[in-house]
Amino acid sequence: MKKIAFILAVLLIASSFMLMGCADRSSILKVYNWQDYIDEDLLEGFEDYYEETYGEKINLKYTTFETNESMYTNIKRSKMDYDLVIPSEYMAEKMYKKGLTQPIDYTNIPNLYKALEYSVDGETRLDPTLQALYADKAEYFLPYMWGTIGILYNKDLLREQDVSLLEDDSALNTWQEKNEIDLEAESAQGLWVLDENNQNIVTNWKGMWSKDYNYSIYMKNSIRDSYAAAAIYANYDELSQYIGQDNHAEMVDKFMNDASDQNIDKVEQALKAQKKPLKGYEVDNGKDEMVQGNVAMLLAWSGDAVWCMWENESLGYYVPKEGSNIWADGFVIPKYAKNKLAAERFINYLFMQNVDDPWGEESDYGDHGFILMDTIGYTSSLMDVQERYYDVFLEEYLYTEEGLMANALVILDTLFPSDEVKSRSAVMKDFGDRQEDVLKMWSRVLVS
Amino acid sequence: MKLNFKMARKQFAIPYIVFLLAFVVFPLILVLVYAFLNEDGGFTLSNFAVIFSDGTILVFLKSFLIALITVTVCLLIGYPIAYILSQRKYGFPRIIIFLFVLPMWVNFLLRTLSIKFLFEYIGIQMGYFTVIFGLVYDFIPFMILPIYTILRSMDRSLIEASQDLGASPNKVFLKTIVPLSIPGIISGALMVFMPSMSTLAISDILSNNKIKLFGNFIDLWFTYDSWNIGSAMSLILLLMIGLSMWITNKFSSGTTVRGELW
Amino acid sequence: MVKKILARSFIILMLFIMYMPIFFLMVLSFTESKAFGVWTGFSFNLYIELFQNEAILQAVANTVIIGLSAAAIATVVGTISAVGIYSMKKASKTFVNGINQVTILNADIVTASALLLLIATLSIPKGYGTLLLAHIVICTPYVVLSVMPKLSSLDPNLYEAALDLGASPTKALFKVMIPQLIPGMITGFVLALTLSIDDFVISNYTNGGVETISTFVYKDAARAGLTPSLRALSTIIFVAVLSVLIAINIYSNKKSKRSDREAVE
Repeated sequence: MKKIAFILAVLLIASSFMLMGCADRSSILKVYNWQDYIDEDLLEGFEDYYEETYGEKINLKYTTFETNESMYTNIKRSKMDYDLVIPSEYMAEKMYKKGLTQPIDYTNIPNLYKALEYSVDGETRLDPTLQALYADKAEYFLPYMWGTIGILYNKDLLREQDVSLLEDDSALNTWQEKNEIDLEAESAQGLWVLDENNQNIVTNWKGMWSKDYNYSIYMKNSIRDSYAAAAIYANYDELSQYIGQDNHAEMVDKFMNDASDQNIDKVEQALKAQKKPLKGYEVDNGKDEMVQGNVAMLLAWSGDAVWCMWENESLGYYVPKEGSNIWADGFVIPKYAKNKLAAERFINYLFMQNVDDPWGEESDYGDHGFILMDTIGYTSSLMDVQERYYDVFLEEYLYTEEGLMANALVILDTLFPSDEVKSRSAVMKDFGDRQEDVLKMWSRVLVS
Repeated sequence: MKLNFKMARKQFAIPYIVFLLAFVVFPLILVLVYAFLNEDGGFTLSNFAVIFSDGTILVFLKSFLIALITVTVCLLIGYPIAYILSQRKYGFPRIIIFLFVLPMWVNFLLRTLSIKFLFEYIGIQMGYFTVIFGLVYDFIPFMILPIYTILRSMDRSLIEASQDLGASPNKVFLKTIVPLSIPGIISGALMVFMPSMSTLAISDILSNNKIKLFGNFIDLWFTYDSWNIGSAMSLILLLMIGLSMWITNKFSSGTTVRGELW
Repeated sequence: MVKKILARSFIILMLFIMYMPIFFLMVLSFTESKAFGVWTGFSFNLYIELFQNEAILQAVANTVIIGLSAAAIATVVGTISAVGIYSMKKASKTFVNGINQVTILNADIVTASALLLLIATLSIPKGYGTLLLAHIVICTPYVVLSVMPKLSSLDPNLYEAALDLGASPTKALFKVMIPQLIPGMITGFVLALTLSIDDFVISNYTNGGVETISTFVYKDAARAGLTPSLRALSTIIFVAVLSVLIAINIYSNKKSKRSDREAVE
């Protein structure tokens, strides 16, 4: 008897654990996002906003993931019923191909369109570059934050011969005209800008493969990003011919996303050659090491680079001139979502506009895109947010007590990539059924 | 009506047997099944093609070697420690053995990270030395404990007998004590070898992700949704466990010395 | 004499190497600087930060709760099951013992992936439940293993006597056998607790977002090179464990002194 009671008790406890979250599902919204990719106050305000606006109660369950891959596995294998996820575009593409997405109903996201015309035919606030780049994915993918990949470097740790060219300020005059920065002020002296025509070590991917910086270079522990950098590096001779040409981005796309046996082989050779003097493969702890001045170069995403450069004025960022990657993380509504409407309304909430009072100091809500960009530190997908944030960023963050930060212009260039940078950057594609071969290559590199 | 003595007690195990079947045997069968399936659920041997590719064989050998080195170092350092602490003549109070086991209760990740930071502070670069150091550091209590236990409870009369027969202290040690402590050594070696071979976090942390071992590879395949290949690799480790269980049975007549502190 | 000195120095050296990293971390928990190894003056700030860090505190709470629960359940189930297994016929006994050993000897990545396959196949949502279940799975075999040796040194007559006096088998189990098994149960409980608290890989694969100390530290270290307040946590853990150790030692010394005294009387 006691035995049976015991078994029943255990089963009861176990099942109660599993049923614990099974309240009325239609009033729950499950959002799955990257870490540090939202503003906490906005999250807190969502439930009240929802009830006020739609007259329904909503329970927001916000969880985070570390990598695109772990998010994908959870949804595909464990069929977890997240209502909204925010993957990178290549992962969104993969999910779509595997039938794991649902079409987004844009009529539920009026805030995506310009304030004056709240209708689907109204003009979108989305950055035209992103619009163009992700037009083919628009059905299931809506960009949230975007940026580039490039080399984050520490000026002080580069050798003299590699650094001397950095002091070339011939581009400063155009900047001055463009941004009306007071360069006469003493504090503005010594501002450095990278002249894109020089052969400086960090202006192409060869910098990351330099043998002169033993134990001072970090690559990423992510297959996709390391593959992209290595693929472009390995095809330098071909790609450099297209610099400045109209079809440069197209060619970068071709070589970066090429997962043929031939290209995989080239990438393998490159990665193996790079491995020995490398300090390691990192995901996030490299940022700290850059800021502390421990390493010379790091493969970085632009948002991370901005954060680092702001903490340490000796740091700079460059998108290699033979080609690099432009990326976006965006909203996707997964197949097993149970509350699609609430998910779309959540997106709408994140795109809340407030033209006059972006910080929301005197109104109920500020401009959420603006607040998000400020909190997260990456570049918003919304054009008007970018434009408005540029001035704020320049005046409030880049001017310190001592004047304009030394690497101010580089930081601005990173957060708001120029057309030139965009023209040499391509979007990552899903490897599809070549993924296994890429993984095998990566494992061969890792064991070497 | 009195139940048969043995019958009544046997029933106590039934819930646990069911539990074991459901949560140990069945999952392992799943691993076996997945290893022979491909993405779409059809039977295939292609997962094993990956296993026998040069990358995987290499990492297996590397991990095996590193585990072997770790066991050896643990033995070379751990045996003396266990021996000295077990012999009254050296006068160490019982609490000292606890001191060698104490770090086990501080989370191993925190310990491993503290090693990393200490090395970086001193200026030693992350690499094979640091990985092996970290493995030894983490697993040496598993070597010390079983040997200590068996040495402490060793039959004194056997030692005295060999001394009476005129053997020098060295000979006594080598020919009597060491052979008698072999069950402890085997136990310790096994408990150090398996986790060393399949380590994941320690190799990552203490090599800045540059040195990937067999455990990392399994993790890699599972992370990138190639569960079939990952299962196939897990199967290999499972076979090794079967092998080590067989060895254990052969050498220590069925009893494992796990080490007791009280 | 020389031998003794050498032996002593060796042990002290080993202890020194063993504790150096921990002490390093502990000392640096009393300064504020984010950069590692830099001393910016004595400060309790990291401890204050630690207790304000909800994520870390939640992870610690989860670890403790899951650890104690899993260890407790494992001890109860394991002990009763050990009794059952012990009284099985040789063939089935060996078989069950074999399966029991599998989990113990198994690489944790294999156990983790096996459980992951189970969870995914049955479409069980990952979370607190799966995490607790996983810990019970890995802990119980150790309890069984710890209790079994004690069973062979039991006096079976006591059990028979209880039955003769009219007790049901279950009552006899609880009132007669179990008290004799307590040392094994304690060993098992402690082992289970240690295992659960220290587990990383299996927790990582089955937690579905519920953080334990291990998963939190791994994520954190991978991200930002160890939040400084984790140094404070390490110190607290170490001091706590050390205190427990000293307490046990004092207790067992008192006990042996008492039994010595009783023996004399």
